[in-house]
Amino acid sequence: MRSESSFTHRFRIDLIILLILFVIGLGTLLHHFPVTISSNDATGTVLMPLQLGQSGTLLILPDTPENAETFSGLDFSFAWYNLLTQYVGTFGIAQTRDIQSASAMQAQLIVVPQRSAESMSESQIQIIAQAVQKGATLIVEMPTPEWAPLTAIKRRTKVNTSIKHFTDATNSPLSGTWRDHLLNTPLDTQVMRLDALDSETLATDAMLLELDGAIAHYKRPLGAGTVFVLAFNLGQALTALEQGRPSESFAIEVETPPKTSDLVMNEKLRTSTVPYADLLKNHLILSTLYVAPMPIIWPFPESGKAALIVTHETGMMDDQAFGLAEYERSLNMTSTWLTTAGKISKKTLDTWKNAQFDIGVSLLRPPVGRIYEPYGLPFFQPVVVERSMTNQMNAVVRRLGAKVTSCRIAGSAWDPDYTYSFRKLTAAECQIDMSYAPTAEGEYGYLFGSGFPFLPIERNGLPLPSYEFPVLINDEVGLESLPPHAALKMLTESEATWHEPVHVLFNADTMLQHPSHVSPESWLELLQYAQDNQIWVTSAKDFMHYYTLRKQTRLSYAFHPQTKVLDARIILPNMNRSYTVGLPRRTAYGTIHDVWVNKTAQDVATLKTTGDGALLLISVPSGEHLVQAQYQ
Amino acid sequence: MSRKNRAIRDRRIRTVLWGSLILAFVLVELCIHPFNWKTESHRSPGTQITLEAVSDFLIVVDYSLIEAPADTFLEMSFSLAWLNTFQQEIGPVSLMGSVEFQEADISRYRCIVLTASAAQQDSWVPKIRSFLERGGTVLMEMPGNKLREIASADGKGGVRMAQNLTYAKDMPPEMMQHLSDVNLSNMTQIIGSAGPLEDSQTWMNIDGVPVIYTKTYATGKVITLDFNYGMLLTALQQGRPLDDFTIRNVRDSNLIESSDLASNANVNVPIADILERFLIYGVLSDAMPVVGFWPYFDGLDGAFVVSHRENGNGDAAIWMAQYEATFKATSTVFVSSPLTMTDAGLDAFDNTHADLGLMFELGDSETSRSREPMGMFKISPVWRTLNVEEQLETVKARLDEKTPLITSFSRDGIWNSDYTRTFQILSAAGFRADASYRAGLDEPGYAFSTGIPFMPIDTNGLVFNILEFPVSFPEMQTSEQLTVLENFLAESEKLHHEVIGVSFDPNQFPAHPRAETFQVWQSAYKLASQHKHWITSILSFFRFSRARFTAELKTRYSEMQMGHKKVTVLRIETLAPEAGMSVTVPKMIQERTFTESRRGIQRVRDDAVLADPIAARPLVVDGFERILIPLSKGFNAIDVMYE
Repeated sequence: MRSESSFTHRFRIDLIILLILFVIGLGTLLHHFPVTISSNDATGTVLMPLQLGQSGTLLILPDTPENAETFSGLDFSFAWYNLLTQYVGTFGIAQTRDIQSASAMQAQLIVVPQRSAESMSESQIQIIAQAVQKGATLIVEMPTPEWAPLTAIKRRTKVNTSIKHFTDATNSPLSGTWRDHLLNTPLDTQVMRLDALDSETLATDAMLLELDGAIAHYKRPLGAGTVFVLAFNLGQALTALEQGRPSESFAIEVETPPKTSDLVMNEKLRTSTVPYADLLKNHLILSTLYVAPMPIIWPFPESGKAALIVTHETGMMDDQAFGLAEYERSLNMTSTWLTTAGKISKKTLDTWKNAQFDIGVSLLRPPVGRIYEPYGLPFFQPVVVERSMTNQMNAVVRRLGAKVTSCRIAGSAWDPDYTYSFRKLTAAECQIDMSYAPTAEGEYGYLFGSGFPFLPIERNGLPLPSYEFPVLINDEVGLESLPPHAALKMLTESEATWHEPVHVLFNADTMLQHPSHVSPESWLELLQYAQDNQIWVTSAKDFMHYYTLRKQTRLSYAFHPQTKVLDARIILPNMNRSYTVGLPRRTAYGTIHDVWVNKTAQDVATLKTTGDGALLLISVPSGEHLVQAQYQ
Repeated sequence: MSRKNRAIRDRRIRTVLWGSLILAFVLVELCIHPFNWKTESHRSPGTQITLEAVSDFLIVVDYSLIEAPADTFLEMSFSLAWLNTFQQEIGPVSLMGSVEFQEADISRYRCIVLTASAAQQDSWVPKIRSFLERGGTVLMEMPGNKLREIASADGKGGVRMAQNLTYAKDMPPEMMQHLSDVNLSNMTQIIGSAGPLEDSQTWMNIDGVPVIYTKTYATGKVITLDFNYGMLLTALQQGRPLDDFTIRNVRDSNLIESSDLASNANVNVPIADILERFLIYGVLSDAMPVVGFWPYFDGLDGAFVVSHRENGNGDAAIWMAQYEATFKATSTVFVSSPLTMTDAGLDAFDNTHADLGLMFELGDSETSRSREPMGMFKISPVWRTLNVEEQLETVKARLDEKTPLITSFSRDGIWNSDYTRTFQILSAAGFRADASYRAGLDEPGYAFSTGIPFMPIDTNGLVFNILEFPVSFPEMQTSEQLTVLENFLAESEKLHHEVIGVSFDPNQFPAHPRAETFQVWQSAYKLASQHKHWITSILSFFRFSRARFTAELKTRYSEMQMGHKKVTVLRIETLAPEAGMSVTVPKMIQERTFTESRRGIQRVRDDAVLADPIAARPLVVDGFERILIPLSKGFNAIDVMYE
């Protein structure tokens, strides 16, 4: 009787209905405001690159990697790996422990970075010396006194880090404008204070570069060969420019959340139209080719002198973003499309993948943004889990049904630790990253000293297997803040002078975020110029495919000083484009006079040359070729 | 407590519980889908105007016949349509009511237009005869009674509806074909006569009946228009509603759009302007040398009037105006209420020198942006739609006092189903220029038979003090549309000399980034420049037009002996209030051809002149050869020589 008269009994039906309504209401609320679960990014590890090709160029790397405590203490040997990939194309690598008489004797150009030079024994140095005596060329970086037989530096000299400027480059193979710019190259490196050689006086044409009045780069004949000595850490100088300069403790010390452009080494690089890192590399390689002519595999196919790499980020847009791709396709061009996970339909992704466009991922991570993956039934999804980088990559891979290699961290957001973001990109299996880019109003150009991709160096000196492909123009910064036609000038100067890939980033949603006519205008005029001047317009993936395929080339060559003839046998891997072989035009043995490809004489006068006239560019298809050059 | 009392109490609890729950549910539902409450806009009918201009031309209307509200379109008075013709083609013109005309000294005019409302006054016959005897020109529209007897046909055939134009003297065949293709049914009425008037020059026939003819009277000329010219012009330009002034929806949609009023089947040709120019540069110029201010800045061949729709996108909508500023062009950006531009955006906009207009909303749909919530504590079950005046005030409140906001545009071209009600609303709100008349999205062109702005006429026969700018290209996006535009510009440059209204949506490319959209947009300006069109805004064109209307322009011509040659000298005295103004004169006067024009002639000997020659250039306006003479700002005295 009491229970029948209680409130709960009398209102049981009402309460049941109320409870049901409450549950439905709560469910609706959870569906619209779900519980959020955050996630962390995994990190990947470094890898020693594989030996792919075969060449007379040998890079000697140190045996055991060591974790550095400071940036200056980092092993920069792999900066040489990047350098040779870019300028020579194909080369062999060996570790110091592998240096045996037989292997060294086969090499015609031997490159010994500082850390390798320090760790090599006297017998190993002797093996190198024998090779040089017999005609090989040696480039040695900051050698120890043990290298004195080759370098003539007997005393251990003081290492200085305060010297920052080249003061002279009288005998540099670079000429005119190139040399002037070389002297302006921002430097952050260690330098041996080398005022004079101990055993001899340098020949008048031997000093190639001078740092604050001290010898920085010189050559020295030895037997039938030549030794090039770098009295500064070129690897460090290049890494500080290209990968950026953190604090000594590898931190990016800024008050706001770090971005990649916070790594820019020198303020003047923020608007630099000169690729200083590449100038330095150019100086070094051309100095070497001058005394030891050899063929190189030029980084652009079909005798091209530049390439336009176009990347688009879809941002918050859906399939509509690909409207820009329609135009590129109409011009028979391709580009890279970095899509936000979950925003683009499978149909659209398939369409553009089938049109040979490179589909990549725009990785959205804090503080720029987050993406969540809902869990539950289609009509009830009370939980969402934050997508990590790996998850975002996988989401696009699943939808695309194909491997994805390109990526970029949206907004160029970067971890405060120098290499931590690279580790995360490695874990996400991103092989080509495009996060290095201008990020602030007014920034454009070679912020990182080069337009070429490079493998970033981890703290232990080994490379992370994710190429960083720096962006030179990013319309996110507001192109109206740049000088008029800045993007076009970058491309025209690249074609005429610098020979760089000009990597531009045009975001599909820029016009929604901060619309300006300058952005689409720049994009259109770039494509128009490229089309009118037969400049290769392509995606980051296609460029990297060509760029890295060069490493598989088998190249054997011999230069005969008596007859002044360069003989080369080149086996180029299969590709649907022709490769470009570069031959030095001006050498110590004269100027190139005749060229034969597979015994067919070429009209030297009509062959393309680089802007400074230093290299002759010959287009050759895949397969085996005999190339001969006569100097006189 | 008894069982009964407990049951009563339980019932009360349930009622309160479920009542509260239902109330909460209803409130939530209403907040999601609120009621719309529409506020009616104020309206202001067309008004009488009197213009006292220093001009050769006087238009006379009889307001006592005009002001009576008409029940049907055919009963409307269209006399004030003449004002559009003279202001568009000449510039300054005087307008007088019949009462003032009775007492006025008309000797300072060279041409008097007696519109249909004023051409019935028998008492004016002596005054008109006297004017003609002094060499004046009188243009009479459908004259009646004794005025008809001066120099018009008998009119015994009575008034009837017209069908087709059948003849126009000396008109190029292609243009004649365009005009004769126009179905004139319901667009005008003609007066038939027993036969053609003796010793008259027939200029135009409709259905075989002479409807424009000239006859010499004493030393003057009488031009008779035996058809309702004003009605035809209004039907072409302002559109033809149904007889009860309602607008027929021709697009199978719920709402009426301004394009539903368009009556020009051939959108490639500005029929109304061809007709006007035939009358002014053909018929009238044959009776007297006609000098008019050229409608375009710096003597350019036409105008490319650009507008953009902000559509609630705020600062993101000004990028097109910023581009135009790079080559010193302007445009009008129509913003919606409430204004979503930030103060920084408004500052950036000021730097573009473009002008702002209001994109008003007439509807009360849920998609309307011009609404405000009514309720409290964020519970707003009712939203009130702002009327046009409130929309205007809301936007004005964000602007500084010096920023003019007198231009309007109807969102999506939505129009009231009544012929002139929207104009009444705009007039009450104080707008002076409107760009809501637009061609159909799928068929750009001169849907309103003109691109040149005109003053609309109310159903009471009076005018609204608004210039309506027809938009010929309301949505430029595709290459095909660009090709059409290029043809229009080319035709305009060499023949029609038109205002081509174009509207771009600044959000189109950002939201749907297709290169074609962007290229079409930029190419449109290049084409306009190539074809010598003035790229400008509605407000700039409006100001330039006003300057033309209020400028002073008087002419006289005489024959004189220069050495052993007889020449005709056309003396022009004008006060040009703006820089960049110019006049056009006939290439020929009677049998003599233009030779030169000189500024401030001082004759020192009979056969020699010392003065500044002016670089004049020939042009063809819808088949009529004219000479364009640039003016300096301020007073100009110019002698134009014909040999």
